[in-house]
Amino acid sequence: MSGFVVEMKGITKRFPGTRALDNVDLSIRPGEIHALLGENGAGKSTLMNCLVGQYLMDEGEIFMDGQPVYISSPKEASKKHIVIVPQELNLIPEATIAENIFLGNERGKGIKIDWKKAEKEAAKLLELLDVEIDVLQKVKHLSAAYQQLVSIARALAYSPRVLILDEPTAVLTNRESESLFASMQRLKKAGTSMIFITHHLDEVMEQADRATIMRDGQIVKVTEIKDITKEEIITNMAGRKVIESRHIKRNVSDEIFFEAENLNREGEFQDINFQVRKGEILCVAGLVGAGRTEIFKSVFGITRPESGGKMYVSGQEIDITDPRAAIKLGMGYISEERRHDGITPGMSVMENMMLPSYDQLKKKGFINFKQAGKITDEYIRRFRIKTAGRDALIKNLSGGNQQKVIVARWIAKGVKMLIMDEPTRGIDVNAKAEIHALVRELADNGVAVVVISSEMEEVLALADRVMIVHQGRIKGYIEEVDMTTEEDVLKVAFQ
Amino acid sequence: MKKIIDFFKSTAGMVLIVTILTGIAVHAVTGNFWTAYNISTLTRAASFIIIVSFGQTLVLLTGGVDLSVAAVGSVSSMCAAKLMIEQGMSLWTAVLISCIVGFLLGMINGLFIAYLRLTPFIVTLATGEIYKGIVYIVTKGSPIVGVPEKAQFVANGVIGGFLPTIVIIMLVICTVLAVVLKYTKFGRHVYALGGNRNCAKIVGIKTEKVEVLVYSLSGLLASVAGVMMTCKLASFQASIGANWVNPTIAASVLGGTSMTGGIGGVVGTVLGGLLNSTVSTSITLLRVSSYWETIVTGGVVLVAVTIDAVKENSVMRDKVIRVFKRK
Repeated sequence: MSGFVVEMKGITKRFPGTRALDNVDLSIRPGEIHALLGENGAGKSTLMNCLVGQYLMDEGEIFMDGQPVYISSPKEASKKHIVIVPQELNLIPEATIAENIFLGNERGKGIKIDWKKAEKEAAKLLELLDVEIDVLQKVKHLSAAYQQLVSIARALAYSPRVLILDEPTAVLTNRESESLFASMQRLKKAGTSMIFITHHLDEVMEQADRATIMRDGQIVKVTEIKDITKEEIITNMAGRKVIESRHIKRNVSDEIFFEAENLNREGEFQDINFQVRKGEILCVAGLVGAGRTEIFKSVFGITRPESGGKMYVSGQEIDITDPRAAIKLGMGYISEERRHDGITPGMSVMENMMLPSYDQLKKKGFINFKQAGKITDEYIRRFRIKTAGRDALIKNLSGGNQQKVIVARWIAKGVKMLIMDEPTRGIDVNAKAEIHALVRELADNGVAVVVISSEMEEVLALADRVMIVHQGRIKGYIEEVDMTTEEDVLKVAFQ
Repeated sequence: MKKIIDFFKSTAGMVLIVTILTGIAVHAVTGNFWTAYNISTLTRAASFIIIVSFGQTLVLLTGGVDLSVAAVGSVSSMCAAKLMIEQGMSLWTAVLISCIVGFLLGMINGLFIAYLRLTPFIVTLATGEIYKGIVYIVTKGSPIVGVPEKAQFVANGVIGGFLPTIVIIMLVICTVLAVVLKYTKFGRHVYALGGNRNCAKIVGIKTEKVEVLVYSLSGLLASVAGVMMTCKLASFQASIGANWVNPTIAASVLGGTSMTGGIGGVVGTVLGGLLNSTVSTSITLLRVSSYWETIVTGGVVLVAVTIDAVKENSVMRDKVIRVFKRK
């Protein structure tokens, strides 16, 4: 007998262009809290998705109590009492707490649901979490914290042997977190194993029994918590990576292009003040959910900051009411969610590149497609975009090439400031290096570039200056990027 | 060459082939399909619906739907009849004013949908009922007769004993719309809006204005068809436009316009509308009970969208693969 509830052996998962998991092992003992650690993109979520059958793994096996099992869907996983509480909660806002808890897991005989029984059980499950609340309330009336607890209760309804908690404390206040930890300790005593994913290392040190640390889709360390320090964890998470794209020291002008003063948006960020200089690459580092994306969505006018905040472009106070206004001021924006916000999949490469530029290409009311085609071909050549041609649909391009098209979109428009959110996420190494080169070229031509990135390696390679954001606030800057290591950045964030 | 092959692989291309084959088959049996008279009648009947369908196509391209086209057509038809007969207005003034009315009714839809972010289905369902009600109240359901002879030629005339005027009007509108959709900023913005609304906003497209204009144009095109019906029948009839909604959606979808937006075009819509008309004409020629018409039309639409879904939908493909990958 192995003495493990669940063992994952030799798990490999490939995505187009990348190897998300590379021969990964993970073993969970009965009744332990096992922290799964790593930077964003290290493969934690992918690994968990393989465990619960959300993704089909390419290679590897899963064992429960030493017996091989095959899990092909989350439903099957929950039948085997492996349940995940995802980071992105999927509750139905219009349904009651009780309905949400037993969704897909209804109590009753045959087709009739026994709501009385469900309500009683829901209350009991929430009691386990130290929550007293009317289970007939609609979920939409609950705070984010309570919604998190309802999600956990829903998982508990499957009487889990292995409970996966993905960033459960991200939306909780300290007190709520404490009460969650107390519940976790109670569950642990009752024999439930937990896989605990978090970016808060203090929580790990206090709550977890063991930890598995991942980096770049591989396991770098499996350890008892008592045998490791927080600093060692950071070192292991960051690692000594082969840097494909090295830092280049650049000279930046002192001319300030954009300035933000006292930006606030409730629940997203507070007291944001910063400047971006002409020709500067400002990298914004921090963990997912730190508020970085939200800050720059407000800068670009996708959301509005609360009144009282001020923004300046070239010293002039300006009001950015919507993306149109931002574009008029010479800004461009590349969203972190390429599919959701970036590309229009059913349109051609040319159109995706030229969409914002149609105003400049008009001739007697008609778009001058001849010229648009010329410009597009020029960028396809310069950026080495792999496509069957400018008329190919953008959805048929690889992620890296799609991204190049979107970068070209704003360069063709002639922007003076470009905000890039996770510009190389999910992009293979070569395309990544090419995009980095483009960013530098852009800055060399005097464009102020803001790069939001969760990849420390990328931040350190590109940045003239690093701005570190944590929990909605600017925690500090690093000016001497040459001397900086990934550890330094993590330390500023965690301080 | 590749473009031609791609066309015949598309929904619209398949629809064209099916239309021609149906015609050949029916002609083989009855000998009456490919006659000048039949083609002339068939295209004339189809043109009214096709004109309305152009508007529907525009709306579908933005990812919406317009259920009020029938009612807007009816209001404009009534307007034209009333203005000509009761106010004694000249033909063209009456036509112009009625079309402006249709444009404005469509604009009301657009304003609710674009600025209040209401669901197109609900908004146009509601306004459609209201517009229909207005017609009932004003006319009490009775026809308005006595439209001058001259008006009839506009919609019912035949040039060279073969080519109906309404077909020419339809083709002119089609050409204008096709050019606008393909070569102007507004046209490309319609596709961008339907293809990915978030992206459209980020690249600075005035999404609200585009949407309002699209619904206004849908209203305008419905009213053009409505007014032409008044001219054709030389009267207003409460039945004008009564069942225009479903065929317009069917024509658009058969023409390859996606219900989720961003894909399609007006040329396909012409082919979709012609197939619909071919089906009903064939049923008549074959002396099959006309009660079968809707069943056949419905079946054709269902088959067409199913083929399209399996061909294009990657999720569906993934599902199939997943089933096979399971042990």
